[in-house]
Amino acid sequence: LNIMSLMKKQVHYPMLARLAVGQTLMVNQLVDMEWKFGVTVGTSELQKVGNIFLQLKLVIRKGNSTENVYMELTLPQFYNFLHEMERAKASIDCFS
Amino acid sequence: MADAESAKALSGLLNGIAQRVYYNNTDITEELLKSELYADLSQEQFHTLHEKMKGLLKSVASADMDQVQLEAFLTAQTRKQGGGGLSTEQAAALSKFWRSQRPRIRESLLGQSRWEPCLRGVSWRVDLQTSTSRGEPASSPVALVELELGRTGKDSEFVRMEFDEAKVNRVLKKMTEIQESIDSFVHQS
Repeated sequence: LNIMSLMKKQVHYPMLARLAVGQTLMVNQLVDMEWKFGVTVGTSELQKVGNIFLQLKLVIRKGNSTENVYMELTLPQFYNFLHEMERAKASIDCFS
Repeated sequence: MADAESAKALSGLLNGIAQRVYYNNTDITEELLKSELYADLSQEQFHTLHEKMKGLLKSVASADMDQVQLEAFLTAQTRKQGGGGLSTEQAAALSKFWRSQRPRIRESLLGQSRWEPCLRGVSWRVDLQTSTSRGEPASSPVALVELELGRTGKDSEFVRMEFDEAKVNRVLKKMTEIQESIDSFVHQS
């Protein structure tokens, strides 16, 4: 997973660099985050299931309008997200 | 066909069926499987074999059978009279195949029931803004976060967001609430 993050950073660095240079460029602000989680007990393809699902809805302001972004995470994906946000916070803490 | 060759062909057939039905590989057609594995059979004979193995695999997969259920199921199939029965060799091939592919096929089926994109990756960077056109305080750290979202078989979409320190803390607080809910649920069950 670390290697994948590294590759992605290399691919998208030009994009992030462009955003940093132009101070008038709007980068999206997270306005709200809603979530729900539960257990999937069965599906049309798989009769018995016992999987935890986690659905997130992010409300993001872009300019004058907002956009809803939906995603469904497995637990490992959620923990990875949480881990990365904690790392970002640790980085921010160095400067505050 | 010698036994080892026959077992190998059956294994190849099951793999080919799984590739198409569960792993989204549309290149593996029935015609391809026939020409590669069962060139000696007639079109009709192969089609019957293909449909039989596919039907059985689908039954096993949708019930997510464990070892006990699988053995009972296969035994019943081998005892069936008439053309629908399963040979012991075919039963053995299916059993061996399921034992190795069960987790992967199950994951594929679970993926089919997720209709929102999943989180393929998270990237971030923290910048120290020394000045802005709006005159905000100097040296305020800002986090840029990029989420990679994707559906099976489709290219990723990227969602980018900006967080100041307060926002990062709020988001983390919310995610901690989620984590605590998950933990308490997991420990109850």
